[in-house]
Amino acid sequence: MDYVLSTKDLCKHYKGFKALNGLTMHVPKGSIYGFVGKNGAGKTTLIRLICGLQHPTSGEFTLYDVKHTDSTISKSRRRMGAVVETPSIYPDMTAAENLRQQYRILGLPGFDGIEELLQLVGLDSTDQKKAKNFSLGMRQRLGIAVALCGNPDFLVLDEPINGLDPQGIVEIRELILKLNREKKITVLISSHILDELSRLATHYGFIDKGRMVREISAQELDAACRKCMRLTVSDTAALTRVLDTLGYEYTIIDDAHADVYAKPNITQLTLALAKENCEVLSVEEHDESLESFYISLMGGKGHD
Amino acid sequence: MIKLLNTNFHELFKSRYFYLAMLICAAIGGGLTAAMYLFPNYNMPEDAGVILTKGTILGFAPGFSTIILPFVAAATVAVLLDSQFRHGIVRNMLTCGHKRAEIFLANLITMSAATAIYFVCYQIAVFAVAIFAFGYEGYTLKAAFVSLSVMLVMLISISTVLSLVLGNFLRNGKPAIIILVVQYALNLSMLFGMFKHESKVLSVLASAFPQGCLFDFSYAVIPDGIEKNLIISVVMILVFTVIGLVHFQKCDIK
Repeated sequence: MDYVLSTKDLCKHYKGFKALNGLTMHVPKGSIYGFVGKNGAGKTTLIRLICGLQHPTSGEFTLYDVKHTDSTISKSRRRMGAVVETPSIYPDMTAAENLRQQYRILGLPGFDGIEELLQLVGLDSTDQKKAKNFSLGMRQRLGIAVALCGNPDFLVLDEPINGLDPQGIVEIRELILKLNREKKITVLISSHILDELSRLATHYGFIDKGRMVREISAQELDAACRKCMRLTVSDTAALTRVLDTLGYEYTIIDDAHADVYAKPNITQLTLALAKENCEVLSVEEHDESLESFYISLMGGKGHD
Repeated sequence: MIKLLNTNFHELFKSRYFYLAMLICAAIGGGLTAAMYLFPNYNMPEDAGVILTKGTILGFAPGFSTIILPFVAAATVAVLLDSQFRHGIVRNMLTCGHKRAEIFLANLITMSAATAIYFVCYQIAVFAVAIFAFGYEGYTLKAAFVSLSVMLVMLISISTVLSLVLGNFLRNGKPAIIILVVQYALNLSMLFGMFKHESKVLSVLASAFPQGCLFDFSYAVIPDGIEKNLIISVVMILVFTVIGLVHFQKCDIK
């Protein structure tokens, strides 16, 4: 698999505090990578390191296969757009002027494409309104437009929906999906809002105390979180025979437990199992969301 | 680097503060010259080593820019740099792949240029008031005018570089107040030169600070040892630039 960003044993220590403690992660090309972790887990620190705002204490990362210590890392960064914490905008300039200023920073030859960018983020009707008078959602969208100047193929968004109203959240979500699907932009997005993230992400990275707890694709997560009936029985071999006969999809977990991915007729199932001398000890509905998956992964720990 | 200079100058020319500062410099230059013509020896210590007469005022008036302009230059640095850090502009430049040294030097060049523009505004106002209001006819010693102007711009530039370095050090705090306090302290070093004949200590201190020679300046005559002062100024600018660069290369930016 091609990775846009890979980190290996990445550490960042501040005075007496380990913000990143051997983080290893992989962001696949073309993915929307949801970066999940509680406050202080190290999400923003990682983004700062990738963007070159801070230097790692140890470990390494590669951006488009270029190591962070390589002198050509600057070129790799030019393929990337980022909104770190707050959008980088000039408050005394209009949306179009902000984009023109970004074109100057990137050294682009003309100002072509500014109108399209403003339309893409829905700011084409702001005219002479200065950025300081924008709402939080408008600023966030302008920040994304600024990050999209120069057609980057990797977008890093740090908590892009924090503080937005429901309408703003929907707009940003649709924008991210559009960028990923239509422009094939890889997106790394950190967020606390798991429900929102679950509507976007194709891959997840769960981070805690500066370490990667688990990396998982959305498909794997869906399988892990799939709605099912968890059966506890005295004989799983007998259960297998019965479920095969009844044509249910299932997973045997251990000698006593199995997940059945359907709503079986319990009476029919119990009678069939009784004929095989197998006892049903318990039946419980099993439905895990991203949130409960996250909680179970983190061991239900609260904030430090 | 050219891209960043283009961006920074565009930001500078878009800033209302820049035009306000130009106006303030011109107003101070013109106002000070007029005040000195009207009240030549007001509040001037007898042993200051400076004798102001209607004929010599224009020899000294431009030199007073080194007292006032560093504050304006420092305030410009504080306002622009604080804005760049607060609004994530430096962060954005780094993310776009610009090198830290380029960002630092682009800021240094932009802010030094702003300082030079302020100096020009101040001088134009001084000469305009002197010529049109008080009938001054001009200098005979052109070399003194050029060399002292260079000297004054150098002195003001020291303040600009120092402010930039301090601004980068204090990027997460409120740099403006500290920059202005340091600038005020630096300006006090002019007093060493003013009273250097009274004490050996003050004499040594006056030679250590470039500003200490301010009261030896006159546009009517080239002072002795101006080349030493130029060298000290250049060295100070270089030292502050290197310190600033080294720090900016290593620092963490939030």
